[in-house]
Amino acid sequence: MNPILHDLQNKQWIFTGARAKQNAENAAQTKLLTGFDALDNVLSGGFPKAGMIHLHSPLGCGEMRFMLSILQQTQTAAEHKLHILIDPPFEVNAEFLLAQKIELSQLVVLRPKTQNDALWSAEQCAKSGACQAIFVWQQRLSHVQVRKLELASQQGDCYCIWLQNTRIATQANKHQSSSRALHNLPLTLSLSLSREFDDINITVNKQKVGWAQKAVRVPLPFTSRATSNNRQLKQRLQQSNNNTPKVVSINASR
Amino acid sequence: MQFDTRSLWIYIHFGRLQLDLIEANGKLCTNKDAPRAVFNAKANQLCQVNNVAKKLGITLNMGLASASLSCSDLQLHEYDQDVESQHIINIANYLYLFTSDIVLAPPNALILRAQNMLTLYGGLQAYWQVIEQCLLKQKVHFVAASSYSVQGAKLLALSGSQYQAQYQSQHQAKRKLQHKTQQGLLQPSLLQHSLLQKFISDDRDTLQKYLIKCPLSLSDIDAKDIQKLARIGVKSYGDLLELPLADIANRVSRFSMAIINELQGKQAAKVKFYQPTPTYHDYLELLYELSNTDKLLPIIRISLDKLSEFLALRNAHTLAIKIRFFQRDHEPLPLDFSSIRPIYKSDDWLDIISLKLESVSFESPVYALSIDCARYEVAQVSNDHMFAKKSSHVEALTLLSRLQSKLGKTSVRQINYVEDFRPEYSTHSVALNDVALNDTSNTSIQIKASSILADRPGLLLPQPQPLNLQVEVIKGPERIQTGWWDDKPIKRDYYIGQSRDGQQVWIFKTPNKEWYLHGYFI
Repeated sequence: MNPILHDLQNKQWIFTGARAKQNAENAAQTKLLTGFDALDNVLSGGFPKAGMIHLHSPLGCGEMRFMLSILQQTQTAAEHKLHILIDPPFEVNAEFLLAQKIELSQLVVLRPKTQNDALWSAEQCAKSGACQAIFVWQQRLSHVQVRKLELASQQGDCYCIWLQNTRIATQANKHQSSSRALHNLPLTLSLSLSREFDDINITVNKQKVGWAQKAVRVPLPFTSRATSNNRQLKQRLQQSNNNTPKVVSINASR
Repeated sequence: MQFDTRSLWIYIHFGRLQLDLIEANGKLCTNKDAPRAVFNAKANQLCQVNNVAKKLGITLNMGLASASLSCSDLQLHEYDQDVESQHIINIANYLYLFTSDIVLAPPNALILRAQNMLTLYGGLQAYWQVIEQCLLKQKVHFVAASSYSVQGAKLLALSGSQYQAQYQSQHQAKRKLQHKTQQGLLQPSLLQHSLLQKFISDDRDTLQKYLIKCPLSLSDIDAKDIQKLARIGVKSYGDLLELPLADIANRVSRFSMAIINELQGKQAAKVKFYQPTPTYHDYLELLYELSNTDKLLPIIRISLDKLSEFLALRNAHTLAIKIRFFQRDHEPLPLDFSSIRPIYKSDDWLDIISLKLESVSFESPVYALSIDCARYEVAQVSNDHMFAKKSSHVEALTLLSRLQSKLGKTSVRQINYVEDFRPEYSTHSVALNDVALNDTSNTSIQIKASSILADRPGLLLPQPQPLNLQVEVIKGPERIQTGWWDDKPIKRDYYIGQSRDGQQVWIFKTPNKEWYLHGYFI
């Protein structure tokens, strides 16, 4: 065998088809079901048990609700573990967290002054084993930084979620350039989210032991008090797209 | 406090306390064998000289000029009475674990009341053995003597140290004075010279025999009165005994008379016993100035080890310590280090300290540092939930302490919920403190599935921004009109909107029909 290949195999950096099959069999034990059948299918069983997950999305399409709804399942096992938010773009709303059934005393927001400090604290949190999930808002991470966080979160048995927000104005070209850069990052899982009415389109950019996958749709509506007629609204919106706009379209007018 | 005249007292005199302190703290330094002396600037005399210097011909009470002539590379330290007084307290603190009645005699002596400890330890020799071991552990040179009065013990001890040379040569055989070397505790080069002297006995006749020869000038008697007595030929304690007390009383002041009475065992000493304070303080002078924080860490470790020992002996741990860095040309820099989890181990503290020191730069080199621990608490061991909760709890607290010391206290924040309909006031972001983590008041809020909170965005803009995004309303309106009671009223109609890019935003309309963006539904 090619000595380089041999070397890589020794390091377990190569995933063979035979092992993939084996892995799939153990999937039920080793993977975390997302609760969305379509997504579980393309992820061959669900999320990995721990590691770094990259979410690429516009700000405010429900990326955190999506993650939290999945993490909710592990809540009982990780009862006293912390949620850490590192440098969220704006103030975090307590009401939202309560609605997501997160104990506020188990949640810490870090406001580091530099990116280095932010990544340092992310790594420390991930390594400590005291956290359930770490949410890191960063625009750009290097290969080394991702690798460090990946190893740290494996060590601490937690999820390190890297939220990368697309800048709306330059979304098209940004997306392209970043996705090209992403291919080389040693991520366990990389997802792109985009919203379409009540559903979220999830594209698997990259996953360990598996292929990149086409977009799947999962529903993620508001679980709201006043059951607003979202379904109807959607239909109306669709109609409005086809016909004349009936929904009030608000333009900034000052 | 008055005591009967039959108590046995031990007076311990530390002849070179500051020097001992400097050498003990400087064990990391390369030039530990350098000739070293402590210089009293007021008297312009060397008051403490180490053995290396003694070999080179430096003697006590030598002037600075002659000392520097005899030895050019003599390391000089200025005498500081406060340092010695403080260290006396530290020693007393340590001794307090073994003996009860301690009297501080600053700057450089301690008095122990041995009498009530004799039964416990089963005799004077056994008791002294314990005390001696304690003192040797502190790495201090000392002279100790026992007597049935405080003044007598002091006289014996001081005459022991003052006339060490004569004492040794003339009376060694006769008096069975035991000179013991501090084996294995000091460097071999110092061994042959480092003598601790002791004169510990509880035999009244023996004590009296030696006391007779002690010069009165070492006692607390007024200098004036000592002169007066010397003129009539009374120089030693023995001379004093030969005169009738009434005659002496005519010549000396009342204060001196009280001391003479005490010496003769006719009056009890007035002393105040030491009560250990619940605080810890340690001062450490560096042998050379440092401005690099990396180099400071091993030195901080030395003093942390002492603190750690102090706490471990008391089964205590602490949440905060304060280190003051004394800078050469600037004011001392006080830094507070705190941990969320109470800890006592020096390793844990050093971890926190090193993280915080990374962001500290000194204005000028540091020449000394002091450690204060104002409060410590007794560790309470609880074994419940060992596997479920505690282990991750300890990890969490350790993690948060680390984060706080690296990022600064204000950067580690926690969110509190206040029941207020105005979105700006319902979330309180506060710096994390140790209480909050165990506070469960927040979690008592029960969220129903159909709660209003489900319609709230995850991220709130600090200030609502004018809306400049094209959005379509997918839900609303929800009117929030409140706050009339505290002069910050709001009247807004909130909508949930969705932009073409799929961003779900929280927007509101004011009564003036102005649209604002207030949050994102992440």
